[in-house]
Amino acid sequence: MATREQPVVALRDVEKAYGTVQALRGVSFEIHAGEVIGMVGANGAGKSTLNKVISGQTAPTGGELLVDGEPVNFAHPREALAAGIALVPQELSLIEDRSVAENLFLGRMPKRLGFVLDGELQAQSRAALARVGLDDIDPTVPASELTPVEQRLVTIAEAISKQPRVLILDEPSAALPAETAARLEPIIRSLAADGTAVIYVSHRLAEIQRLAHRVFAMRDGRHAGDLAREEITIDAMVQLVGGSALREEPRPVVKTRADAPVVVRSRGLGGTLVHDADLQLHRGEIIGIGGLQGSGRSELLRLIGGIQGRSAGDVDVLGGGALETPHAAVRRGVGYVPEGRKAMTFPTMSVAANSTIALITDISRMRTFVDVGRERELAGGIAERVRMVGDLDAPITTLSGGNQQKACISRWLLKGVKLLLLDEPTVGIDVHARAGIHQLLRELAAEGTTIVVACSEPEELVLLCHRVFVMVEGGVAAELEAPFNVEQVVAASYAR
Amino acid sequence: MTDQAHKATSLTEPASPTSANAPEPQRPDGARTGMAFGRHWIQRYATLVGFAIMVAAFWIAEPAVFGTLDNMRSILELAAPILILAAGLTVVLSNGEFDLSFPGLIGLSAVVGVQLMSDHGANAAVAIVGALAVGLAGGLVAGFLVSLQRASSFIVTLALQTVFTGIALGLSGGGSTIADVTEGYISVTFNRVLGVPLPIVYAAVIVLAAFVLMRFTVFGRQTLAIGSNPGAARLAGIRVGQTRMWGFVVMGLCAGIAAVILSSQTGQFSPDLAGGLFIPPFVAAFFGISVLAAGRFNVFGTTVGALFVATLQTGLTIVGADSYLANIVIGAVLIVILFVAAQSRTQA
Ligand SMILES: Nc1ncnc2c1ncn2[C@@H]1O[C@H](COP(=O)(O)OP(=O)(O)OP(=O)(O)O)[C@@H](O)[C@H]1O
Ligand SMILES: [Mg+2]
Repeated sequence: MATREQPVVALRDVEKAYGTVQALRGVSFEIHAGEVIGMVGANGAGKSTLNKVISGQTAPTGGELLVDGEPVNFAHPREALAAGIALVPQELSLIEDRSVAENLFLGRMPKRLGFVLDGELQAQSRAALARVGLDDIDPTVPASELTPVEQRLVTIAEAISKQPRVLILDEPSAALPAETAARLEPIIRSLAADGTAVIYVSHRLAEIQRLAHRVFAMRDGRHAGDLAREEITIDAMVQLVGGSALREEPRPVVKTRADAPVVVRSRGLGGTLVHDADLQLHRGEIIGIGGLQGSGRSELLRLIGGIQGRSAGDVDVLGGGALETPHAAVRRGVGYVPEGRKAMTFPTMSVAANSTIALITDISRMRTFVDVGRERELAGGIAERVRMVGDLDAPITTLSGGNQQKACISRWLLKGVKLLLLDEPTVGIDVHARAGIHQLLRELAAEGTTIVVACSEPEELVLLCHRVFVMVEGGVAAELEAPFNVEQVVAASYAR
Repeated sequence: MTDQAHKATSLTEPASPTSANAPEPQRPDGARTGMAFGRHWIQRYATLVGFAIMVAAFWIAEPAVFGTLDNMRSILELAAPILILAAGLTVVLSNGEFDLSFPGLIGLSAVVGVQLMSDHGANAAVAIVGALAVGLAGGLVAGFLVSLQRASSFIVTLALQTVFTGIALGLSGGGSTIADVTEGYISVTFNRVLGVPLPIVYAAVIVLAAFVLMRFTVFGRQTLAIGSNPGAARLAGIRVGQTRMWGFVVMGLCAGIAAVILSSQTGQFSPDLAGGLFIPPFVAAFFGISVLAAGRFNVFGTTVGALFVATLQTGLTIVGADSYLANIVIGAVLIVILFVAAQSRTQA
């Protein structure tokens, strides 16, 4: 890290307005070659906007952008790329029906006489994929065949293969399971050691603590403060982003289940990966499903919710037998939040409509006409409780990533289901709001809702769950009951 | 990544008007404040201004004819079936589906209605009910086949178009014109209320109904959700196949109504009854995406679009353009509109 040199990129008093929304209010920023800056801030603080300005995705409405001390005006991301600035956006942006190789080298394919050199392309693709640990991916398959996790890694590989001088990673780890996210850290360290400047945005503050040379905190579109390497602690970051310390979350206390009715009971339940799952979940419990990536966490959730068909065994949900379709699940009082925002957002609809879609019939007049007043009232109320900031009537795509997540989860919080299945629900949600959502889930459970959370972060399971089933290779390897700790979850995840 | 390229290719399959995987707008959104504002304004009003310029041009070219009240009325009368079909089509398109079968269904509905009078001595009311029932049934068949999700609605309805047309030709004895309609049947479109020809009244009622359906009902909301992200709609508990099927039923009913209006206006069934009504509803619906930068299919925009097409067709006739020229112009306009629509989708 060489701080005395000229910054590679600098911003001076940058402003950005989206219509009447002031996303950036006079932000100054600089980054030097070889420096890793950890960027933190609450949902909607302006992190993504700042990075879009630097990478030419959007033009600032005021202030100055300097590259190597020279003022620049990027009219297109291409120009930023030419200046050596590459962005991995927060939302997945692969073209699903193109091959992985084409996605990696879009617009810069190796060619001779206008023809793509296929062998060359495959070789370069394999090299780029190997860099992020995707050695076993065939670059000729369409991007749509990859899992969201693999897609995320491909977008990172794409940016790295451009050999940028400034690499911007906007929440690269959000959609990644903890152990996969950890694979990124050595890559970033080695890039920085080679002189690449890295901007790393994350709500997982422990990652920032391990990686960053400096923390750049944002709040309400402003620069809220910096932390030098030796000052970086989780508490200091929490203070900076939220303006207050985090209240200690109450540890889950296990209740006696003997008299609580059984909500889910399974015998030998199996799918494509999951096998022989015997579960018994009771009313008002918060159940965790832990385990490594690919251990079958998500699939188990889908099997319970009737999203995916069973291949073996039996399951009874709320006394009505197995669920066959999501529609049947909703009818019976079961809500399901899938992994990944894209699987649940309606991009052409408003924030309010997105958060009431699951209960739109319930709040209609004569079950036919939408009660717009009621809808707004409910959407506004839940927005406050989950700390969602944004215009309820604007399209959901105008919200920051984390706020979109909150709007989508809200639809089940409002619906009042008896069983709520959540797959990685707090991905991309800032620390204060995450505590708020945990609190809401605890309240729901206290009122009698059974909650099942599939989650790759042992820390979150420890904070939230009364009981955890740890999956290993499709089977339930261990059942832990509160109080349990992170080490126990990790140990069980790696058990054979 | 080039979001644009992606969107442009997905235009042939409206299954993703702004599909789930549409990322945030990735293109640079103009330079500093002034220009950003300019671009925003252009997006909102471009097509409306284009409409206004076109009206002005015809007006200047033929002031004595174009600017008359009579001409306005005839534009609206021409627009009536387009409005009705486009309203139905908007529901289907909003679902992320396509319907290419409605011209055939119009023919089939009309031949049944007219034959009830000519061959079975039925009165106008029975004929109308018959025609509408055929429209509903045709929509139900299309919707059912599509909801099976075995093939795209594009292909299914393309096949149905041929089937419906074939049945209509068979029923009419090889496609001969049948002119035996009752006077009551003619008066369904011939009369006026307060000087307004009845077809215009029907169109207004149906457009209003479609607007309410899409804007204020649970069905409309669920339709939008399906068009926006079918997978997410399913997870939210919406019955995707069933909702899509009802969309086709709405479209079928609209085709039935258009069939009654057209055969009543001409006083006959003829094989080319729906001729010239295939492309205009699509132009209207896609025009609607760009109106006020809505970014998705909507009944208000469609209505403006239908008036646009009708004005264009009438204007071209008034300035004496040959009909082949009108075809070329309308086709070209559709292409331009598809590009504009793709643009406002990515921006929405
Ligand atoms: N296209 C847009 N139109 C209107 N407002 C927008 C748009 N994009 C972002 N905003 C607004 O700008 C503000 C900053 O958003 P931004 O995406 O930069 O937040 P963020 O810090 O990245 O949050 P997160 O942690 O949730 O990703 C938010 O209030 C958001 O609603
Ligand atoms: Mg962001």
